[in-house]
Amino acid sequence: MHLPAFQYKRPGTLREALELLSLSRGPVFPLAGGTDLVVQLRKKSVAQESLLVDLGNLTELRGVQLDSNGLQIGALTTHAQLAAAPLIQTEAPLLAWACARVGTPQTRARGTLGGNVVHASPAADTIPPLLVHEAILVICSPQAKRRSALDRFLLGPYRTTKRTDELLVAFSLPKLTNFRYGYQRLIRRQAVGIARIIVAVALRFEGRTICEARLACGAVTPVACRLAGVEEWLRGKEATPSLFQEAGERAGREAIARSGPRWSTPYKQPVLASLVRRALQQAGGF
Amino acid sequence: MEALSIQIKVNGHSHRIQTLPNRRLLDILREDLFLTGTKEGCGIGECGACTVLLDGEAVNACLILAPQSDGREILTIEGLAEKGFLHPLQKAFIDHFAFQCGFCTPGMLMAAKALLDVNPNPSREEIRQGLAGVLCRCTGYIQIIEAVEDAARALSGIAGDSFTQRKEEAR
Ligand SMILES: Cc1cc2nc3c(=O)[nH]c(=O)nc-3n(C[C@H](O)[C@H](O)[C@H](O)COP(=O)(O)OP(=O)(O)OC[C@H]3O[C@@H](n4cnc5c(N)ncnc54)[C@H](O)[C@@H]3O)c2cc1C
Ligand code: FES
Ligand code: FES
Repeated sequence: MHLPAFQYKRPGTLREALELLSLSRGPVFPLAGGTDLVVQLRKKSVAQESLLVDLGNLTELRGVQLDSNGLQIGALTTHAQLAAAPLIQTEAPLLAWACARVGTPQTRARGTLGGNVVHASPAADTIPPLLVHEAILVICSPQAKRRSALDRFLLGPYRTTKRTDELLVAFSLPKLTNFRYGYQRLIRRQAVGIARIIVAVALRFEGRTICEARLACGAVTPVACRLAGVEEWLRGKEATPSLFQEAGERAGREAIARSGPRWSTPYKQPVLASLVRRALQQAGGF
Repeated sequence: MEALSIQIKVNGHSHRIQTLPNRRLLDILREDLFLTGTKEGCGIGECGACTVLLDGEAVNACLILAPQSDGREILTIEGLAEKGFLHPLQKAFIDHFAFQCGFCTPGMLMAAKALLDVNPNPSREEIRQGLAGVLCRCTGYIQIIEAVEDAARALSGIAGDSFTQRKEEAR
C-alpha cells in the first residue's frame, strides 16, 4: 500500500513551521498525530504533492499549565496525556472524560486536542466540553498572534476560520469555580465508534437554586453548540427531577430547531432529551 | 518527492533507512525490515492488527508516516519473546486458546503489553478498554481477556494462581 505522493518537512521551531506554511505555493497541511490526516491521505482527499509540515518536534506546543488566567493547554497535547493529567481531571473534568473516550488507546496515544478541533467533525468529542469552558484558541501566523473564541472559530462541519498559513498553538480555558459537571455520550456500539450524541453540562448552585447553567451538545447539530435557550430557562430555578425532565425536552426542541428536521429526528430528539436530563441529574448530584 | 533518511530502533536494534516520505511505519517494518508479524487489516486505524509500541505506547503503525518515527524506539511482536523464551502473555494466549486464525494476535499481544506495562494488575473492564482498539473476528474475546488476566498474575509473580503455571507444574 502506498500513499499518494507528498512533500514532507519537519521543522524544529514554531517560527520555522509558520514560515513553511506561508511560503508554500501549493496546498499545505500541518501534521499533528495524523489520525485524521493520514486517513484522508489514504482516501486521496488530500491533493497530490501537498506539503505536510510535521509538528512533531515542536515540544513547546505540548503540555498543560494552570496560571492566573486558567488552564493553558498546548495544541499538540494528546488525548491520552489530557485524560491522565491531574490538572485536567480537577479543573476540566468534562474534557478529561471526553479525551478518555476518543477512539481507541492507539488513537488517543497519537491524536491531539488541536487536531480534533481543527478537523472540526460535528462529532468531535472534545468540542462540547471546550464550549462549556468557553475556551479561547491561540492562533499564530508568521505576522501575528490572534485569539478566537471556539464558537466563532467553528464555521460548519469540517470548516473553521483557520487560514492555511496559521497554526493553532494553544487553548486557554478560563477557570470555572464551584461548578458541577455532567457528561453523556451515545455511540452505536460500546467499544469504539463515532459519537451519535454528546452532552456536556456545568451547573453552579446556590443552595438548590441554579445560578448558572452551561449546556453544550455535539453530533446532533451541524456544528456543536451551546443551547442558550435552555441555559437561560434554567437560571434562577430550583433543581428538581421534573425541572431536569422539562429542560431535556426543551433541549431536544432547541437542537432540532437548529439542525432542521432530518430522517433521524424522531429518534434523536427524545434520546437527546433523555441524555440532557441524565447529564443534569449527574451534575446536580441526584 | 524526495527520499529521506530516518534512524529508528526496532526491538533493540538501530537501523538507518532511506525512504520516501509517503511510506508508513507499517511498510518500513514489513517491507524493509521483513518484520511481517505486524499485520495490515484496515489501514485506517480501526482494526488494530498493526499495533506496535512506539516509545512504550501502543499505536497503529498504519497511521504513522515513516518519517514521523525518526529517532523513536519501536517494539514489534518479534521483540516480545526474550532470549528464546516466550513472554508470559504469549504463553497465556497459547494456554487459553486465545486465537484461532491468529491475524489479530500480534496486535492483541502488543496492546496487552502496553496495558500491563502501565497497569500490572488491571480489572476485567480495564483489560476490555485496553484491548478495545484491536478487533478479533474469531474468538469472541473471552479467552483473550482471560489470557491477559492470567499473564498479569504470572508477571506479578502470584504463584500457584495462574492457569499457565498450573499447566506447567502438571507437565
Ligand atoms: C480509529 C479512529 C477512531 C477515532 N475516534 C474518534 C472519536 O471517538 N472521537 C473523536 O472526536 N475523534 C475520533 N477520531 C478522529 C481523530 O483521532 C481525532 O480527531 C484526533 O484528535 C485528531 O488529531 P490528530 O493530532 O491526529 O490530527 P491530524 O490528523 O494530525 O490533523 C487533523 C487536521 O487538523 C490540522 N491540524 C492538526 N493540528 C493542527 C494545529 N496545531 N494547527 C493547525 N492545524 C492543525 C491538520 O492539518 C489536519 O487538517 C478517530 C480516528 C480514528 C482513526
Ligand atoms: S491496519 Fe492499522 S488499524 Fe487496521
Ligand atoms: S484469532 Fe482470528 S481475528 Fe482474532
